[in-house]
Amino acid sequence: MVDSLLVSAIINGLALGAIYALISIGLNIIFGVMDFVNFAHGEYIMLSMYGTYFLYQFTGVNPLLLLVVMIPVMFVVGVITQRVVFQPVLDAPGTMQIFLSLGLLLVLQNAAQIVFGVETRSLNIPWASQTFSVLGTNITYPRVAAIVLAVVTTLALFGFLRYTHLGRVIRATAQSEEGAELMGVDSKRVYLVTFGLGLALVGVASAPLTMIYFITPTIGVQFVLIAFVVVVLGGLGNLKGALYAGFFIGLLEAVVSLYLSSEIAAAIYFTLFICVLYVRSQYGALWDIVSRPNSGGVSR
Amino acid sequence: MSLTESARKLRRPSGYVPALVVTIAILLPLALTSSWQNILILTVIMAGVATSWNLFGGYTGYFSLGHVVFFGLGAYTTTLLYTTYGIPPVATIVVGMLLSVLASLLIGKATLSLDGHYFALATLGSVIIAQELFAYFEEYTGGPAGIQLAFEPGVTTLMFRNRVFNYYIAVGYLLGVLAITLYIDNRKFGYYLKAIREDEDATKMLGADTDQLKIRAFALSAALSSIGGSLWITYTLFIDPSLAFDLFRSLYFVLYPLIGGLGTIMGPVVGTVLIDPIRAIFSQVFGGSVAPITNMIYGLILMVVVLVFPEGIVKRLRNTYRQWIDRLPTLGADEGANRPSEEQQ
Repeated sequence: MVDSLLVSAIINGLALGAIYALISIGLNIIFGVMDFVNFAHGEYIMLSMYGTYFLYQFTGVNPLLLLVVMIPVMFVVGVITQRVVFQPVLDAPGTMQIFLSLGLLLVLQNAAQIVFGVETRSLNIPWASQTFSVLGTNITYPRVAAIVLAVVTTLALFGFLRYTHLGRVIRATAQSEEGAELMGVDSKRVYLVTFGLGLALVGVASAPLTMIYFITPTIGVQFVLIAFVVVVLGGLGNLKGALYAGFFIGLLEAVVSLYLSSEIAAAIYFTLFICVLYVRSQYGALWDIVSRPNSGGVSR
Repeated sequence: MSLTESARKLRRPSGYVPALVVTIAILLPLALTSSWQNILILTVIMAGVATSWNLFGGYTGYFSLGHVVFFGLGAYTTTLLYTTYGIPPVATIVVGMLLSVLASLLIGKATLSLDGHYFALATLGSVIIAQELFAYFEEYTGGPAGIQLAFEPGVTTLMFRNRVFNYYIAVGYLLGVLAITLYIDNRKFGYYLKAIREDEDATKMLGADTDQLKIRAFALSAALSSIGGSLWITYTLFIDPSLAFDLFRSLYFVLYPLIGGLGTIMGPVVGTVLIDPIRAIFSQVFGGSVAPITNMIYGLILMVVVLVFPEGIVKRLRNTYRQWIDRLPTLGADEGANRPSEEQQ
């Protein structure tokens, strides 16, 4: 006899994890290639949710089909952000980039509050709340979509980085900016593409996000914090690692929330996060061996 | 320093201008309405914590995004000891400082070996941990519903019917933290911290125990931030986990010193005084909730500062200030020494 509460928690956890994985891979590819932490990443998640929401309100098209619009739009937004905001501080110390992205976070989040208002919105799609039954528990379609999207996207991205010319150029720049430049790579342009790619992944996540979560202007911070945890657990610059870590955190959150509370789940994974950072700093060489058995990433 | 010597120092512009500023700061609230006093008090407490942050973050270059943990610990210690055991808040300040030092040793041990943005991320994580733990253990902390402190005016409770007294206590706190900063700035300890900021590996190689130095500075800064939290709660009288461990407040502790000038003595104060009151003034002038607009302005200011003058206001304007101050006359007879003489006007 399977505990149906546990099963549904696990399936929910997998769906959560899929979403976490998608947004974290987006953050991680930016991090891996450009070596800076984009605190404003969550605000782009929030913006992409509003984008999907309004597109759906105007057109009534299935949010999953709207991805055809959202992914390119987010890519362009990423390229513009990198060009206008971050390119000028490329050579500044890393902490300056942190502050710049914190400033961007404040600007985007509060601009969204002014433009969209503070009220909570949600998509009301009839079929999205319909369920089907697996192992005696009910699952909604958006959750299945999230899991499928995460796996397919990661595989596609992995293939892109591994087998295409542009992918190789990105990986080369991640390994050594100077080395790549000596080989004739325009690293500034690579950074533009990378930032666009990172946000395009946010665009992929926007469809399931909008169908599962309520939309508020302040939701971004919550996601970016989780993305940090996932990125650190999975290994910086390691895309496969981020996929696994995303699922792990999603499951942890769902199961701990079932038995204890969601607050304690957050406290647990942030403690885990600090522990991993600590172990990594103390036993860096060992950590590299454990976390990078094969070249599953963009960096190092 | 003899009395006549300090009197002579006061007669020079470099002495009487700061003295004048302090005097104005002390007299100012007497001329203001209570809502403006409110803004002043919160700003001065904020400036105190920002200066405490700077003592570690500005001097060592380790950007702790988690200082609100110590601020919140101070505030919660005062609240819980006062409401549950009736211990007067004055006495709880010391307990809060001790707890914050313990917390800082724990957090510091785990995070101070990380470099740059990993340290920032890890300390940010500590804020969430604190927030969620205080929300979860409801039976001890009051949980998300929060706690309202009973208002009992008195010197030992640090609560006053007349806000001016809250203000003076806050100013005392700020001056205390500034004095400690000034003291450290000129000592070996301060030089070590600055050396860590410039090049940690080189500092280590020259024989300084950088791990020990960083953790000491972190603990000192945590203890001082905790005082700010205790003073804040005896003034505002309501606490819950998301107020005490407010992520954005934690960002402000970093933002104000950055705008004023990292690692300078007056930078955090200048930054706080220029920026922090904007929110309160806006809501006073325009009414209603203006938090989004002011936070957006803060974000824009932060971005402009990073892009245009990352060294901060104080370093940018230091020379202008000195030139300006040199033109001021020396007061009274000064035996001719250091007289700016004919240059004035």
